[in-house]
Amino acid sequence: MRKIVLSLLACAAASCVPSRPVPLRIGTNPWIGYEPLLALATAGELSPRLRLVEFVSATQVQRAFENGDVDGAALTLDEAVRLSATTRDVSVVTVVDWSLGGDALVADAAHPSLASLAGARIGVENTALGALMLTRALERGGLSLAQVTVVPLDAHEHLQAWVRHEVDAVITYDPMLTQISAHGATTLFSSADIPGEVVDLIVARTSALRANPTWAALVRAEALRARERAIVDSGAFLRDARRRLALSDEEAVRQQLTRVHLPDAAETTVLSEQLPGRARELARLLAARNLAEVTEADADRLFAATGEDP
Amino acid sequence: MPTRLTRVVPLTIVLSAVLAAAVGLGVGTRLARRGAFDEGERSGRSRLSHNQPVLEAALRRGDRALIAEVVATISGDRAVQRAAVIGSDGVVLASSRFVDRGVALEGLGWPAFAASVVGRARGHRGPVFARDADALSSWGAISLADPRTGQPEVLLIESDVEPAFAAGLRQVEVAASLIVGLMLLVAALAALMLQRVIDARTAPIFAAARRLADGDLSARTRLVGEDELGQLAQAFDDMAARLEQRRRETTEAEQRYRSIFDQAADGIFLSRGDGRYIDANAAALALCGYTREELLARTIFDLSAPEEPAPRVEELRRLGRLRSSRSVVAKSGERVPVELGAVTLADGGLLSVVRDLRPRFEADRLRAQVAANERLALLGQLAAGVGHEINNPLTFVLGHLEGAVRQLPPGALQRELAEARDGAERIARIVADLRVFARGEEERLRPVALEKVVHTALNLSGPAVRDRVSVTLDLPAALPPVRAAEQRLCQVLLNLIQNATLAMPEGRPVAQNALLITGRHHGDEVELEVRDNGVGMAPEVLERIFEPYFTTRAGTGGTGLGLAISRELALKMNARLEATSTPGVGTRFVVTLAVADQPVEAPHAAPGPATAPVMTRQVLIIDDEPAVARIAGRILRDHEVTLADGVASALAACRAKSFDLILCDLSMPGGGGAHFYAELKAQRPELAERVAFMTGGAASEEVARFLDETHQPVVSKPFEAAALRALADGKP
Repeated sequence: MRKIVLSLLACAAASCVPSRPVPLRIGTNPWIGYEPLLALATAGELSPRLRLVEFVSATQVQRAFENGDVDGAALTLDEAVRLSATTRDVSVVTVVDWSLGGDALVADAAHPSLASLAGARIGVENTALGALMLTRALERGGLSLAQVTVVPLDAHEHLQAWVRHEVDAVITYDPMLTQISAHGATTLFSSADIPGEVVDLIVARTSALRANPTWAALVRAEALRARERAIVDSGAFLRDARRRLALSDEEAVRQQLTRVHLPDAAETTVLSEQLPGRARELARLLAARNLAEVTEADADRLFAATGEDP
Repeated sequence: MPTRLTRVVPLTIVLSAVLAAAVGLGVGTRLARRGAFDEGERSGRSRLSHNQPVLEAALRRGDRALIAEVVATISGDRAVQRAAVIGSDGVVLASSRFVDRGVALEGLGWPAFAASVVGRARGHRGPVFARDADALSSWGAISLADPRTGQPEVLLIESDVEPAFAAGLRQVEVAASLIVGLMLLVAALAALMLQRVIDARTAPIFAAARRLADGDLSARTRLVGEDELGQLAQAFDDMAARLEQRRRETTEAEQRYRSIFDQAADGIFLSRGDGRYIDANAAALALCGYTREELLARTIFDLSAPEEPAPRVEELRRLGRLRSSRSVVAKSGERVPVELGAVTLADGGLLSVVRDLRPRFEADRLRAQVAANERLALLGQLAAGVGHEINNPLTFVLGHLEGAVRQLPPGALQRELAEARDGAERIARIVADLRVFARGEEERLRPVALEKVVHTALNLSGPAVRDRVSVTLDLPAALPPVRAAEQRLCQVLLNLIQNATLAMPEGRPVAQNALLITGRHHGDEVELEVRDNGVGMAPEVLERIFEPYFTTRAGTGGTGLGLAISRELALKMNARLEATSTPGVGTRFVVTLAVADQPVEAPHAAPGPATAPVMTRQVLIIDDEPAVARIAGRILRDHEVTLADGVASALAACRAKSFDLILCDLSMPGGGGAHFYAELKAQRPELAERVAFMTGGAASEEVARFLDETHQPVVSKPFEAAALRALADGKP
């Protein structure tokens, strides 16, 4: 009798298919700062609990996040703050890098300085980063927003618009920055001028993080591991990054690398402590520029889930 | 855990549920998988067909950025694992992985499904699909018209069907769980109901079974119903009834056998395998002398004589049964001879049946005794016949010798004649003794005063006794008369006294030779004990003293007939003669007689006129043997004797004169003494009272009855002169 019962149970157990763990889908766009993680994924070493979905632009990433196609997204801090106004279900998971010139305002030869930009057509991604860079650049040049013509462009349109002379200047970032620079553009202002303000993060749905409490720690650990691996196996990293970022050679990749800072664990911790303050400031900026109806409370909420995280 | 009926049904339901769930899960898994693939293809089909026109437009415009964006958008779909646009040259134009761009499809290391489905899509209008069952993914591809190359490019999408499958599987699992849960509930309810129903139905059966087990065979379930339990109860009741009937029959049979066991004349012992007794019937207990409790504390070895060890049980078991003659040691220590039959029982015990052989031995002894008595009776008959013939001649031989001894002067001749007379007297005594054994010699038993007989016997024993022993009498005055023949009892007593005298050791002073004669009254019996302090007898001698011709005094005048005759006489008086003896201490004889139911009769007056002078009396002697008549006449020569040789002459003499004594022979031609007596009584009744009869022995039954009825004196031949003279003198 006992044997029959056991065999029946075994049969029942055999018929069940152990379901694969659902991975945290993180949307990325081409950016040197995200390359270490993508390199890890390409090598097949990324945790199966994480999956990187490659989009062509940050705009596409945000859309996918808002549409629910991805659970997490690689975004800049300003994008995250802006997102917090439209969805309450978002939290900062970790800092990936910060820009040290990776984001820049480049202009053609007719506009040699920031001040000369008055009346110029400036292509800007309709993102918080774009707004932040434009705001800071105009501040630096002593111009007001009204003095310039803002041409909204998605990231993948930057190069095309530049080549077709549809814009006089463009606020862009790598790899477009390198590509556009190759077409004779001059950098007038970059993130290196405002260190620590243009920060790249990985955010995720608060609800998803709460449902899977280990995800946040896993993402942080994998980001640090990806950084280490990129340093150790730099040859493979440069080769893959060149192809992914569609750069002419590995030297270009190296140049891009000089424009970002990949923080180690200690730096990550220090910056993480500063982030809420930066986020509030960005929220105020966005609200002031009518770029987004975002409040400081929205910005604070970005850290609610990670704050809970042990 | 014992299997209970009430658990079987729910267990079966549960097992069925589990089995159904297992099968359902198996089938459900297959269906879910198939459904997931179908769903994957359905969504893949729409994904491919929706993106086909956009991509074809981008290809027409050469807008690779748009192609990349569309591919990225496609791969943003949760259900999409990979997406790529493969150029007609097989090189990846756009991919969900940016790193794949510009790489040949074969170089990507993607599964073979990818190349296969791309190849099929090129020669096909509309979407094509392939299923990767292992990876749970569906590969779909659709051709994209590219006017620039004139060759179709292909949009390849790998859809993940695992989530759909997992969702389908969850539904199956939920359904299976619900079914199992429901069945468990049903099982629990079924178990509860079944338990209640079965408990209610089985309780009377259990109760009855317990009562039955406790021995109450009247227990019945009284349960009715056509269901299985009802039938079971009915079967149980039938069984109990049969059991009760069987028990009753068994009990009755047991009682019957018990009664046979108890009433059996043979002793029956039951013992265990180790020899311990467990039962015995009354006969067995009587035989061994133990009480039941005493016996049950003993073993067969305790009742076996040491020289006849009890048969070993193993031996008996091998033989199966045993039959032998052996002894049982009774409680008193007596060895009781028995015939033993033993059988071993199935339980290893032993059933022994013992038959007491003592009654058989006693019967054998009695049979031998009877045979001996027969022989003696024959001897007696012979002796009586011979005696009759001898006694007549012996009468006159003795008479003449007596006369001659009297008349001769003392001298050698007189001594020789006296010895001849003694020899003749001895012959007469032997013949008289032998006559005792003759049948038909029964004497009429009358009330007899024991004291008188004792005195007579002592007187008759004469100086031979008186000079050797000192006699003590202990005869209470209140002793009742006994039923006996006086003369025979006297003879018995005389024998015993003479024996006692002869048992005294040689040379011991007379005063020490004690002879004690005691009379005791016990209920209906009187014991007459003759005890001496003589030499006594050894047991083997004591055993044989009543046998005829057994004597320890051979050659000293003992005939060996004395005690045999005494016992015979005692038997004829319905009395017992028993002896006990201890060598060196003495011997004790006891005659046990019945108490008479009438007082002692007054003695007959002597015949003849009381007034007649003693000296000269008229005597008529009648005998057909003239010599006998003459010798009687000579003995009575002091009287006036008339002789007659027959009944006729005697009657004539009686008619002629009167007589004081008429001595008449019983056996004579022409009717004999009886006829004469009857005639005389008719003719001269006064003379009939004076008749005394003479007999030579061998009296018939008829004659004996006649003598008994007439009460007339009898004189035995040969005559003792003194006795004859006393009769003629009218002395008692």
